[in-house]
Parts: sequence; C-alpha cells; structure tokens
Amino acid sequence: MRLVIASIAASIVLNTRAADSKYPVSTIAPALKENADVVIRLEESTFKITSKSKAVYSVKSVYTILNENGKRYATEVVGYDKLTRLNNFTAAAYDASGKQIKKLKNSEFYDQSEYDGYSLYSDNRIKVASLAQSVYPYTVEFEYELEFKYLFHIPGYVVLSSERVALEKASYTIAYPKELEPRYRTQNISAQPVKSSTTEKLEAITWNFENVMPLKFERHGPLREVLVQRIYAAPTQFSYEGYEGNMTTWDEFGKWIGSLNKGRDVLPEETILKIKALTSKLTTTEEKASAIYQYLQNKTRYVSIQLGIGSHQPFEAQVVDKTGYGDCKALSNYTVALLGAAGVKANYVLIRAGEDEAPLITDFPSSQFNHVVVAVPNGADTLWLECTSQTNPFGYMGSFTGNRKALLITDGGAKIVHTPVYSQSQNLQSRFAQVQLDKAGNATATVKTRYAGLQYENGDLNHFVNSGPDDQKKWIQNHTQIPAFDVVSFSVANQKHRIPTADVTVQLALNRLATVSGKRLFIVPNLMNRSNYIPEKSEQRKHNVVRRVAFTDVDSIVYKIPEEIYPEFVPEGIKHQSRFGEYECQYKLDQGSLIYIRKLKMKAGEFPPESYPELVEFYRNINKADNVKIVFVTKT
Amino acid sequence: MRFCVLLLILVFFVQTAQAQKPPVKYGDIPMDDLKMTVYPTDSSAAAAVLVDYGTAYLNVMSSSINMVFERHTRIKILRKDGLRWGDVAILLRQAGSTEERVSSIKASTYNLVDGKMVESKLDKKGMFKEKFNRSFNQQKFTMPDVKEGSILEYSYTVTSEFWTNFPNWQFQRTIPTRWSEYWAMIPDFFHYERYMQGYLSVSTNESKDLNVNGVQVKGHHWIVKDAPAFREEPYMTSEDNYISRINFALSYVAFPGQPTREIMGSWSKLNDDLLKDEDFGRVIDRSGFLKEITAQVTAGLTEPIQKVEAIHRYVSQNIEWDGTEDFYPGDLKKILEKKKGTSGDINVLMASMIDKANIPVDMVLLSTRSHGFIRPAYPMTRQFNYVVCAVRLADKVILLDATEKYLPYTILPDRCLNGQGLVISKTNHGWLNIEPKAKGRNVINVDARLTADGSIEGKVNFSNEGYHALPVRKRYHARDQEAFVKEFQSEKQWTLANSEFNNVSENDKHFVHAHEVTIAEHGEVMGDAIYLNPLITSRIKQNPFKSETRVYPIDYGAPSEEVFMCKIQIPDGYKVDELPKSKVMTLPQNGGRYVYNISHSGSNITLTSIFTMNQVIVPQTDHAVLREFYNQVVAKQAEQIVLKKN
Repeated sequence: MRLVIASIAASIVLNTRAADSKYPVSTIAPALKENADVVIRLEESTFKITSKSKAVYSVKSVYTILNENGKRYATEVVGYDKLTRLNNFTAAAYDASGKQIKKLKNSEFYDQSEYDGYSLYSDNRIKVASLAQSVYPYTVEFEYELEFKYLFHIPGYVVLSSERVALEKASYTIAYPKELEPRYRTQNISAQPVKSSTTEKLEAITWNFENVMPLKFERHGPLREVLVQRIYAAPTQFSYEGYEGNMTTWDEFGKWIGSLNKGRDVLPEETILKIKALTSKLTTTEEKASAIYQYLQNKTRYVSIQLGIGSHQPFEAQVVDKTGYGDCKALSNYTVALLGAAGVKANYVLIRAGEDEAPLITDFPSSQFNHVVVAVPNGADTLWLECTSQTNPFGYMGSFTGNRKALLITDGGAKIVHTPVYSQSQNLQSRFAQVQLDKAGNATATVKTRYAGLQYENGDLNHFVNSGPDDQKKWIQNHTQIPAFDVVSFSVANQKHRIPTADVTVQLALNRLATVSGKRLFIVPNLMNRSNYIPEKSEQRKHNVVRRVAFTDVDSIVYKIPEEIYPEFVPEGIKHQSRFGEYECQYKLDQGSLIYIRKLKMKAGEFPPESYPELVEFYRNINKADNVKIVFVTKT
Repeated sequence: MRFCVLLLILVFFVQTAQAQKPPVKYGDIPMDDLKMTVYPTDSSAAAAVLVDYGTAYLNVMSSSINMVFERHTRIKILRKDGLRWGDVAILLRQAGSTEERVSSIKASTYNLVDGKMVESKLDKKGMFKEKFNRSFNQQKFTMPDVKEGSILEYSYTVTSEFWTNFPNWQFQRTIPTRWSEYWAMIPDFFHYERYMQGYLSVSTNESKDLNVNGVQVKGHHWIVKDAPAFREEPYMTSEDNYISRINFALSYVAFPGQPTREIMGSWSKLNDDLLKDEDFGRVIDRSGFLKEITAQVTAGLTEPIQKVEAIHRYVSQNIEWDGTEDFYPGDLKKILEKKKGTSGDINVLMASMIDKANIPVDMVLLSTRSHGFIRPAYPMTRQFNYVVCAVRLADKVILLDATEKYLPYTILPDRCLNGQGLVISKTNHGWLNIEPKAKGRNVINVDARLTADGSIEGKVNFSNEGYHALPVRKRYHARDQEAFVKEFQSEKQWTLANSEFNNVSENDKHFVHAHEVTIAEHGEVMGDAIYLNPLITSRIKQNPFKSETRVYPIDYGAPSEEVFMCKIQIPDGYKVDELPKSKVMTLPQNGGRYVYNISHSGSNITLTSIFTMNQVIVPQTDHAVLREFYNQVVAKQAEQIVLKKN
C-alpha cells in the first residue's frame, strides 16, 4: 500500500495587490520573524469534491525564506500519478521588496518517476520546482492543482509541521455537494469551521489561521504528529476505479477493503494439496500457521508494484503462487488463502507501519494505513504474521508493526485491534563476559551477549543474524564499545521464537585494555555498555516525557586479575532509582577475580513535564557510574 | 565538447561478429551450480554472479550508425538477503525523440525441485518500462519464483544511436563474480581509447583482427575470473575509483576516402579546442559586460593579489553554488542575475572578472574526489567534472574556487583534492598537481584549575584552522552565536560562560572562540586520590579502523592536525603521585606523528598533545601499521594523572 502523498495548501482567488510588488518582507510582523527561518505568508488549499469519483485539490503557498536554514521551503515537490492529474503548476520568486525575480518556465520544472526506495514499479511521479536564491530574505510562491479521478483520500491540513516556521495567514476549505458531505476531525484545534456556499452551489467549510508562532518540540517528548495542529478529512461515499464504498464507520471501510479482496484468495488445486499435506499431521493452529509461514518465507519475496487501484487491491493469490512475489497486500492475501487451505481462519490487517509513526486515529474511520499484516486468531491469543519478510521470526511484530492499533478486516466489516507489546523483561540484553587481564594491562575476553525481544533489532541485528560471516563480523566490530580490540573469533546463533533471541559470542584480544600509569593500572569495569548520553537541560519543560520502549540490560563481567597486582581502591556499589527505571552496579572481589554486575531496567510510559529534570539527573547518574574506574597497583 | 555527430553515408552491415564463443549457453545450467549452497571463495555472499557476458558492436548502415549491446547474465541466489538480485533495471539514454531500445529480453529462474531442474520463465506481467526523467528511461523486470538456491538467467539486447558512448564494462559488483567476459567489436574506422581501472587482475586481455561480412573489425576481449565482492571501507573516495572496469572513449573516426575526424586527439588539441569553444574559453573573452562590476569590486585596490581576493570574495559571497559539479558555464549574465550557479558557472564567472581586471587567468579542469581519478593517458573531457581558476602572480600559482562561502580564497574545497588538474591556457597549458594548501587543524588551549571535588574550572580557547574552520563557520552562520554556544556545550556536556568569538567572517583567518568553562566531576575522587585525564577534549576515543584487514588505500583528502595544550593547577593539599610518561610515536616516512609531552612543576601540570596526519593517501599495505598507531594513540590518550592528598 503506498503512502499517500499529502501535499499542503491551495488557490482560491488571489489577492489582487499591485503586480509589481507582492509579499514585501517589510509587512511581516516582527514577532513572527523571531525564532523563525521561514514565514508562511499564505497557505490556501481547497479540496473540492465534485462527484463520488472526482475531486480537485488546489493549492497556493507563499513562503518568505529568511535565511539559509529555511532553504528547503524554496523547493516544492508535487506527486501525481495516472489517476491524479497535475495542472497549472507555477512557481515564482520575489525579492525582499516584493519584486518578482524569477518565474519558472515549463522546461525548468523537473519531472521524474518517484523513487521511494522500495517499489519496483509504480505510476507515481513527482514534479519539482526549485527556486532557491542566495540573497536572503526572499519569497517564493507556488500554485498547482491536482485533479483526482477518484475519491478516497482527502489531504488534510497541518498548520505548522516543523520548528522555526511561523505562519501569517492560511485557510483550508473543503467544498462538496450536499449529498457528499465529508467528515472531519481536528487535532489541537478548537475553532469551528465557517460554513458557506460556493458559486457552483456547493457547500463549503473553511478554517482560517492567522499569526501562528513557531513550534518548539522537545526531546523525549510526545511524537510531533500528536503535537501539531491538524485537520483530518475523509469522504463518506466514495468511488475508486469503480469500487464504491462508504467510510463512515470502520465496518463500512472494512467492507470496502473486503470488496477489493473478494475472490482473490483462490489457490491452484496443486497448492491446496501441498498445504494440506504439509499441515495434516499438525494439530494446533500455531503449528499449522508456523509451517505455512515458513512455506511462505521460502517461496516468496517482496516486490512492490503499485498501479491505480493496485495501491489498495492485492494481486490474486494464484498470481503470487505462480510468480513467487508480491507486495504486502498480495503476500498477506496469499497467506490468508494458504492458511484457509489448511482450515485455519486468518484475517487481513491494515496497519500504519514504521518506527515512531503517529498512532491510528481510531475515532475517525479513514485511510490511515501504509502496510498490511496477517492475524491468526488462536484461542484467546492471536498470532501475527509479517508476510513481506523472508527472515522475520514467526509471530514477531517488532518495531515496524508492534505495539499499535491496527484495523483487522472481518467477514462483515472491520475491528480495531492492538498488535503485541513486549515487556521490560522481554526486551532483554544480557551479557556475560570473562576477561583475562595481564599485568601489562592487556587482556583477552570471551563475551556472550543475548539480545531478545526488541533488542533483537539493536543496530539492525535482526538483519545481520541472517547475513554471511563477513557482514556479521562487521556488525560486531561496529557494535563493540571498546576503544581498541581485535575480534579473534565469533559465532552468532539466531532463535526465531515468537520473542526472538540472538546469541552473539565473541573472543576478543584487548591490547591495552587497562591504562598503565607508572605502577598503577586503571580499568573501567563496565567493559562495553557505557552510557555517555545526558539529555539536554531544559528550563521550562512544556510537554510530557514519553518513553516508548521498556527494556532490561544486564552485564556481568568477571575479570581474572594477575597475582602481581592488587586493587588500590574498589568503588562502592551504586543504586539509582527513578520513575523512569532503576540502575544498579556492584563490584566484588573474589579469589583473584573482580566481578562487576550492572543492571539497568527502563520503563515505558508517559510522565509529567516536571519529571524531566529527574530524567536528566537519572541519565547523569548512570553516566557517571558507568565510567567509574578501578585502580590496581603493582605489588613491588 | 558539444558537437553533433555527423552521420556518414556508408553501406556496410556488420552482423554480430560470430568469432567469439560465449562461455555458456542459455538454459544450460550445470547441476553443481544448482546444488551450490555456499559460494566457495566467499561464504558470506548473499548471491554470486556465475557468468556475466557482454558483447558490443557497431552496426554501420546506410543512414545511421547503431551500437548494439548484448548481455547474458547468470546469478546464483545463496541467501535470502540476496533475493533482491531478482529485480533488474536497465538504464536507457534518451535525448529528444532518440532513445535506446531494449529487445529480446529473455529471463528464467531455475530451481531444484526434488532433484530436478524446474524453469520458470519471465512473462510480460513482470516487465515494466518507465520514463525516469528527461534523459533516462528504465526497463525493469522482476524474475519469477526466486528463492534461496535459485539461479537467475537473463539476456537482452540494447540498440543505441548514442554510439559515441561505447558501453563500459564493470567486472565487479557488490557480490562475487565468477566469470566476467566482454567483447568490444569495433570496425576499423572507429578508434576508441580504452583504459582499465581497479585492482583486479585480468586473465585474458587480447585484441584480434576479425573480418565480419567484409568489414574489418577489431575484437577486444577481456575476461576476469573470480572477482571478489566489492565492499566499501572507511576513508575511501568514490567507489568508482576502486571498482574494476574497462572504459571506452571515442578517439577519432576515419572512414575510407574521408579525412580523419579527430574526436579525442591529444591533451594539447583538447586544450586548443576548449580555448576556442564558444561555450568555454570564448566565454571569458566575450564577457565585456563584466568590466563595470569588476571595476566596482576592485575600486581603490592596486595590488593584483588584492584584486583577486576582492573578486573571489565578491563571487563567493554573492553567487550561491547549487551543488552541481561541472565545468561548462551557462550564460554569465543570467548567473549574475540569478545569483546562483554550478561550479562551472561560478568559477568561469570569477575567471572572467579576474580577466577584466587585467590579471592573467587560466581555467584548470579537475575531477572531484567523488568523480574519480584522472588517467592522463586518455585525453578526453569526460574525465573532468569540475573547474577552478589559476592565477599566476610573481611566479606563484594560486588556485581559486568560489563555490564555498566560508573558505579563504587560498584554499580549494576538499572535493578538489584528487590528484592533478589540467590547465587550459594559451601559454601555460599542462598538468598541475593539486596539493592541499592547508591542513585541517584545530588548536585548543586550556588554562584551568582542578577543584578538590574533581571539577575543572578555567578558560578554554579553540582555534579552527584551514579545512577544519569550514564546518565550524558553516555551523556558526547557520544560526546565531547563542545557538552555537548552546549546542557546543551540550555536545561536550560542559558549562560555558562569557564566550568570545573572533574572525567569524574573516575566512582567511582562524575561527577562534574562547570560553570560561566548568566541567563537573571531570576527575574522579577516590578516597584520598584524584584520578584525572588531562586531555579534557580532543581525545580519539575509538580506533576508526575496526577491521583487521584492508583491501583499498586509505584516502584522507587533506593532512590534519589536532593540537591540545593545557595548564592545570592542582588543588591545594594534593601532590602529583603519578604522571603519564611523555612519548613520541611516528608512522614510517613521517606519514603521521603523535607527541604527548607532559610535565609538572609545583602545583601546575602542563600537557601538549599533538596528533598529526601528514600522509594523505596511505596504501592498503600500511593499514596494519596505521591501525596499530591509532591503537597506541587511543591508549596513550586514555592515561590518567594520579594526585594524592599530602
């Protein structure tokens, strides 16, 4: 499913000011320029529904770019495709006084097929207008119109989406025939829209915005998507390449998806027999699903081809069966069909995939998805299948699709479900290391680390567990936090459980692990899990502190100490407790060994703004404790 | 050189030259390859090219010359992360209504099923033609039934009228290649220069005279066997510089009974052509309209060097570089109006202004670091992608580039530091070594005292010099001073006060900033001892060379130096119990050097730490020595001072 390109802004009738001076910078209120690199002078966008299957989206945007940091606003990229015509794209630049200094000619727009990095083929194209100037400030003006030959998605409006941008004036309008009244939902906007009617006898609702100061986001805060002021809109009745639907409820939305998928689950007889043979001796749903998932992973691969309604409709199961490839829709639909052949009921699930994606707005049925997975009901439990990966562990929903609301398509409609969340103890990194130190400060070490749950994805480890030894070695080299080391040998074991684990065992040669100064040897007992991050201090924290992932780290390091040296000073164990988690480290001397144990447990959750200094303090304490040294002295 | 290709009326027809024997037959898949699970010489390989076989030849017809390129490729998929090799894209040129065409696409996937080979053929549904942009189309196809263990095989033909661009052939990819073979069949009237680049050895390299349907053809033939996968390493320039490839460049065309048409000729001919080129050399002569502005910019200045500097300042501060690397200028008037341009626009504009100030100036063609090394044996303009100016004053050559706002006029951006440049000139034509005129250098001075709780309090002074000044200046000017200080202190986790800045806009001077600094708990207080690392910043904490092996040379671009000097006063009641030893380490041939010089007198400790890297390109054979050098520096810089209570 392709990500719908949301473009902002539109053209109604433009203000007829003196043609030789438009948008002079001098008229901007000084307060708007403060803390801003860009001032949005005007953003007007209108989405006009003309029928169940036609709409026109017109946009006019004017940006004053105050300095180099605002440069990205000088380039406008508009996406279009076979069902979305791009008309009347114009672009002009004005100097500070408002004199036009550039107007793009047709040949100066750049047109290219959209390369999204994962599609093999789609009809999506982009047209780019670039107006960057070197003398600041200057103003750019873009206008265009998109003509939709379907109705499905209505581009909403985000008042300000990034920091250091202020807004002078904007409006967002939806015009529609009475019988096709769309729905809307606002976020962080209290104003009600103004109703009017257009000359074409359409109803219209409009929001107006004026003089909005730049946003300021904070680290460890809520997602930006949740903080911005925004209008979501969606049709009620719609038609998309002949597929008619209604999305006033999730059930209706689900029915429409069902109508696209209908009849596409037919498998060749031969495959049905194969699946039956594969699963007939298996008794539980989980065993059957697991066998089929493995069959799928060995037979297919992900190839994204998106054309017209194909952005929402899967290839037929038999096509996937024949060619062995498909996108998320095709492979999920195919998986549901395969499970069906084994008598296992499964559901097609629409989801918004990606790390740090905005949550699904559950009270506003609309097209909010970019991916499809499969859910297999299993008693009180549900098995989740990511069908586009050939290596994903069976039942694992990692950072790409885990812990979020999704839409499960049922026979008669749809329902909202939640994908798996992994707990603090499941997201475990546990390490045991034995270090043999010599009196010159050199050492050898055997380090075994288990990465489980979401930590299985640390540094893309979930990818590297499936790579060849050279690439695995590179991963180890890049993720061993020791100043200088040689990897003598290593092994990687991958357990594809529902909560997957990877065991990485490494033999290291650690020359000069200890720093020698005269008769003393310094060692930081925390061998390779030192925190060196402290969040920036903040005088006035506005937003909540949000921690998205809970996890546990345990490091046990045993140092064999040579006889010739003895510790001059052994630090005390340290414990730090905070509402965000707990930290503990211990040092123990035991018959020529120094044992160091470190435990860090972090919670997930939302905490009030006033807890922020505590977070900074907690990190500072961890940082300090992690870098504590032990000093040994030579016995002479 | 922008010239039109004249088509000559000749009635010849060259069929695919059959003299060469393909290494494999389509569909004839050895069982051993189907059964292969691990590539013998690279157990990491996600996939391997078993055979890559290409032929290219020119078809001279009555009204046109066609270039025909045929390729036959066989790939083994070994691991799931190799499945993406099942998606194939062929890039096709287009100019106006002339476009390269693909024909005879044939593609199959072979799988071993129950001990037998099963073939799945590509059908039309898996093929897509895409218009990429004005200059390129793409023919894509995706193979059916690709799984771990599959063998993919495809062949296709590309027919092209862009015959001056004879297809180059790459012997190496990011997966290993067992057999890569190329035939270039060129009728005797066409002369292409050929050059081989890269680090692989070629097992066959021959040229044969062949007679194909009455036409004399030279068949050039290369085979590379067992090419390892190309893997990127840190400190590399362009991947293009390292990969093994045969390149072609049209040198001249000599049709029977007609005068030879020189296309490449010699460097001196290229020089003459460029000087005469309406779009290059003549641009400078014709730019009379710049007289006035040049006079304004240089008003009141008498010394030529001052004028040069003023013109450079004018161009670099007023015309923004759009990021495009090229050497042909556009319309200078328009560029001056738009205040924006490519490297060609900007530097030819600057040269034109210098010319109007009656100072002799030449253009120097370059190939940037990302574009690849120059091969002086092959006189062709496409080796270049950049241009700078050379001014000769009192027998000294000054190279100038105005694309960077924050570099002094005496320093070329580091993208230019890539070997040699070609001077295009009536009088000074020839090669010039482009040597870095500056180091990247940081000098840090600390004057501070240690408190009994381990904190550092004092003054710190930073001087960023040469190439190291550029990123700092950019960062400073991207925001304001306050934001710079805020970011700087949060990065270092220091507390700064009373910050002072100097020369923030004087590009030819060091970027200097000084602060009062407090570093909480920098030293560790343990019982009656304090442990203190005197290198409070500028430490190399990790060896940048993590891998024990190295295949390609290490390329730093410019030499660099980090100087850290401090004077630290220890707290009352403490004495120095242990001090790290002063030490000097050097790389062979003075390639690099590290000096750690520490001493104390009374309650003051002074340290000078100087890390110098003189050698810009370190051969891969010296990698182990370099890596060990870093290991020792990292260890030395971690050493502690021990203070004890009296």
